[in-house]
Amino acid sequence: MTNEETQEPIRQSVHVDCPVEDAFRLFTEFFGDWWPAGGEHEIEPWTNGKIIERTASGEEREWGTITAWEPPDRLAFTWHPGADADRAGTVEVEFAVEADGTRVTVTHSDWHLAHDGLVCFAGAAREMIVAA
Amino acid sequence: MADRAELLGAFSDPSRQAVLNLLRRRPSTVGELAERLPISRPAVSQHLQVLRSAGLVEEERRGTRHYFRLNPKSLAELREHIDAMWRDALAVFSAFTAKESTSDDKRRNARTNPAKRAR
Repeated sequence: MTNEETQEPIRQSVHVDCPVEDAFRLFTEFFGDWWPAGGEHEIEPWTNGKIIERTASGEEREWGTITAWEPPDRLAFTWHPGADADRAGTVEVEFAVEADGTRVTVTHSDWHLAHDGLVCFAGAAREMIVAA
Repeated sequence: MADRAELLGAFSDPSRQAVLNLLRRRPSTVGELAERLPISRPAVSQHLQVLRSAGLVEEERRGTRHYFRLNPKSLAELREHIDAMWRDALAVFSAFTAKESTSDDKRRNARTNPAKRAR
């Protein structure tokens, strides 16, 4: 694999058993309830809104900015957990009607820019999921 | 390939992150890296040894000069970590939506958040 291929966007999708409107709302409004990582998380529901983490010690950190807010079909944001904003990748989340529910597709581009922060983050998330 | 603890350890130092950022642009010699960073050549060499031992960079000899570059295999490994993170996160989200749909009435009563399911 060359560097160029390795840095292609990462894409993952999942089926959820609810209408597109509910899927979008649960993903965003209830982000802090389901997002598998420590601390409190919040998505500010508007373009230029922030993705915020509040740590147990009360510290507030911004891990991204909403660049597209198009309920109930699409959401996009810059994302740089554990890194500065100038190393942000971009995440696009699409909600599409499919049989018996909704297909939620995540496309994560330029993830390699903040890869160190992301790897720490991915490891912490994984440990939480395994522990749950 | 290095294990995750070693990988994270190699990443955890700001100078090593700066070295990786420069190597992401192009392969470089120790001297070239030291010119662009506020650290000495011996310090750059030391950081490169840690990065090489973690499998993040490779050394390549061109004539009499030694170039260091990112190891594409390590990037592929990082990609797998992030790919797995999204797979896990979306599985958690799917389970969450299933739970919310079945306990919707309960949640409607329990929560005070005004922006509720509109239907």
